[in-house]
Amino acid sequence: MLKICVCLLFYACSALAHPHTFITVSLELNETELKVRWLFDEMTSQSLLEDFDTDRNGIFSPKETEAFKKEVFNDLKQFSFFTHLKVANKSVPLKPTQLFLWRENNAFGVEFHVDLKPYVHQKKSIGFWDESFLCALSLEKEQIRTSLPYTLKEVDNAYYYGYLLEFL
Amino acid sequence: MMPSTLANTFAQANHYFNTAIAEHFHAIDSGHVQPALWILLLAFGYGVVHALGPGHGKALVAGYLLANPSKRSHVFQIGFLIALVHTLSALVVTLCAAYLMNISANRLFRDVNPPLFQISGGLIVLLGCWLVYNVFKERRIVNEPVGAQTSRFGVVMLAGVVPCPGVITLSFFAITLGHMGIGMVAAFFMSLGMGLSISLAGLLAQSVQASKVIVTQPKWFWAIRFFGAVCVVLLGLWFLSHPIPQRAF
Repeated sequence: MLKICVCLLFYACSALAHPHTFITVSLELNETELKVRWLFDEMTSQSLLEDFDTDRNGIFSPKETEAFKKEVFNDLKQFSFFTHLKVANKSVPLKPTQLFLWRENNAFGVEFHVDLKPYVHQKKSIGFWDESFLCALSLEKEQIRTSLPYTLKEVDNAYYYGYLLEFL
Repeated sequence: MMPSTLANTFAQANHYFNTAIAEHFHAIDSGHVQPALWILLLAFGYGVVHALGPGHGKALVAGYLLANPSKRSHVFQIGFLIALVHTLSALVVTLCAAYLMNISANRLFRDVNPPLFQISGGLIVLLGCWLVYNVFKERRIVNEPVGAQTSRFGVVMLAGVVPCPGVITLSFFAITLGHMGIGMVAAFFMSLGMGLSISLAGLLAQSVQASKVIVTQPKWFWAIRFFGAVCVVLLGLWFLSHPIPQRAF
């Protein structure tokens, strides 16, 4: 009941949310590293390409990548890069180590890496969602490449939804 | 339906319209008129589901209509005018970004939106205080109609002035593909869809105010009006205390 009230209140009050950016997530991970890839919907991609592929060659130079990092990516820290890592049931601040951009047909792609070495052999879970619900993330089993045993479930977070990857 | 399912459904419906519109924009180049017609139809549907989700001034409209019982025609007027202003402000941002500043509309949007949101929140608090004062002043009036309601145009401006990110994304996309004209018309159709959803939210509030229990009980009638006015104040305060962070996309 409380959840429904929170949901209704949010739907009534929030000024902007309702996803207008759609991100398809794919993952590659092992014990020591997590690689997250985002592929944006075509409409959002168009404006990101317009802003950051400044020479329009479909390839992102270090300078263009740095501009994206500075203007866009770094600000996503406040949203934990839509990637919520928990180790031993405690939230861990995400610190992406590398960033790559690419263009795939008309879509804009982002890849970042996260170092998991400090958390080897510890119980981990990774959630994928945007609490402000401006972005809707989708993650399917087929988009996860790992040899680690895991479960993937949809997460009911009242006014937004997401996915939780839990390692066994 | 569980809330998460509701959120998921909104997201999927928005995603469907977003993708379908993008596909039809590419099909325009084939020279047929059908894709353009589909875009307008899809833009209307996109507007409906887009405004059914959070935001777009529905709470403000509902609070205002509870405080100020209005005619049904005024409810629709408020709903569609909010959507139109919401769309026009988005088009201003898009066109300024694309033709004056040569940047993407989303980049300009993330700069102008947080201050606009704050200003809008402050003005909503003032409007709410004015409504509370009026409702208190008119506490002896126990049934419709309640005073002149030119203040509804204030509500339209306050709810609509924050640009619609959905319209910005759609119209900027159309411009980058070289279809500005159809993009503008599609934005108008999207505003019609949003107007319908906002009006329905308004009708819901109006139906509460027009229910038999409220109409026949003067104290309840006043209490509901007072509640609506307080809701508007609280909504403005909520906006002020929850500034929108700058967002990338």
